[in-house]
Amino acid sequence: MQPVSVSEVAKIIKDTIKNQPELIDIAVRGEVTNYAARAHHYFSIKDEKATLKCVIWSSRASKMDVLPLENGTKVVLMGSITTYPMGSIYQLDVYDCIIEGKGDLYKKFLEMKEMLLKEGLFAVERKQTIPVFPEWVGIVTSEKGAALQDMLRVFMEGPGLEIVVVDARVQGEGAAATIAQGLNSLNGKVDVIIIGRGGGSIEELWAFNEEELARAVFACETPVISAVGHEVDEVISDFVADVKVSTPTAAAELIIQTMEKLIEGYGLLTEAMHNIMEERLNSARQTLDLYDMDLRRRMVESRLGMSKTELRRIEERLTFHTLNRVALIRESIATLNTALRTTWIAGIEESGLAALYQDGKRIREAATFSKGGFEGQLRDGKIKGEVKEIEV
Amino acid sequence: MKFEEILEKLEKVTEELDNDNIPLERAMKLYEEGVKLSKLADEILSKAETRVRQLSESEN
Repeated sequence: MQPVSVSEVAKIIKDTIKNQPELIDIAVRGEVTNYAARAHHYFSIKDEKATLKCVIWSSRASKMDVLPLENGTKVVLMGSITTYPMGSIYQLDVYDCIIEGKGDLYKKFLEMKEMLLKEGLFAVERKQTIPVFPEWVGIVTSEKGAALQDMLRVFMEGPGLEIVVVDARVQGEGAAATIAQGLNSLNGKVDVIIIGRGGGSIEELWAFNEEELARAVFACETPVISAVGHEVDEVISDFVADVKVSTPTAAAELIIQTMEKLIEGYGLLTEAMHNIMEERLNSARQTLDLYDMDLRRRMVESRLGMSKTELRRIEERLTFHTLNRVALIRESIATLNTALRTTWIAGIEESGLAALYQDGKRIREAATFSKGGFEGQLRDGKIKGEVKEIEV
Repeated sequence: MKFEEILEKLEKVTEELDNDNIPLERAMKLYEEGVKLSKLADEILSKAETRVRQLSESEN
């Protein structure tokens, strides 16, 4: 298949949309959300299932009677769908607006937010940290909602967890109370609690704006994650909760990803531990080998020493005996001497060590050296030198 | 012990172990402790299989 460039794909999409009569000069009904005033007016309108990005260019805005400036306002917008290939975005290019509802609920939301903010329910210092490796996760949401299935799907693919689901009504009269009850029943019994539901209109999400729920979240000793709606929705429980995420799926992902990072860290740590110990043992083994060599040499020397004493004794006793027997013993001493030399030189060869002598005596420790000349025996020959300084 | 506590201890053990100046005997002790900790962690990870249960009305 012949690959096409990104720009070419963008052009195809742009042309398709531009030539689609159902997307030109249309009226779209929705609720204003995510409003941001910059040089131009950027915002979205949404319903239960979808969000549509909108733009009002400042040149157009100055000619419009009313502007949909307030989040939560119900509007009908006139415009055409255009694309913005740089951002892979499609949007409603608005040229007119009819306000359908003044957004009473939104006003109420702002008042509630203001009140609880003043009371300190959103205070950062009151926020608890979410445990990085929870064993028990509580979820308060509708058993029948897609939000629960979305979360469970993510959890099932992660490390093992015990999940406790408490069914709650997530919209309509009394919903806030059932969510608050769910929170209370899980409080202290799990490591973290997620409260949430999928996206919706401000009315549908209202339970998460109610004071009763806000206070329950605040009082909850177990850390709470607020996971309400889709990206653009903002509710009071988001501000009170210890952590806010934009969707229920994101809540599950946050927990799973943190755990996975920790498991990865654990793997690296144990690997490092084993490596360090192995290195340590290797170097200990080398030191041990040196000691072992020294020990073997001493053994040979002591055997030689015995032979010398023996020789003397024998010499004393056998004054009358033939000299060639003595010569035989002398010869054996010579053999032992050679053996000793071989062992020692083998040792030097192995490790690259040198034997140091002063006044004909082998010296092993710095403390027993005195200043002045010394001789060194190496694998391939002798050296002579001078001791200038001694540090012990 | 919780997984993150084990990890924290393991971190300390490895850090001390990484110091060449500690005697071999101490290093062996630390390593032994580290291996024990990692066994505990492995146990947690191996038994873990996600289970979902509903909190019933009566427990509620």
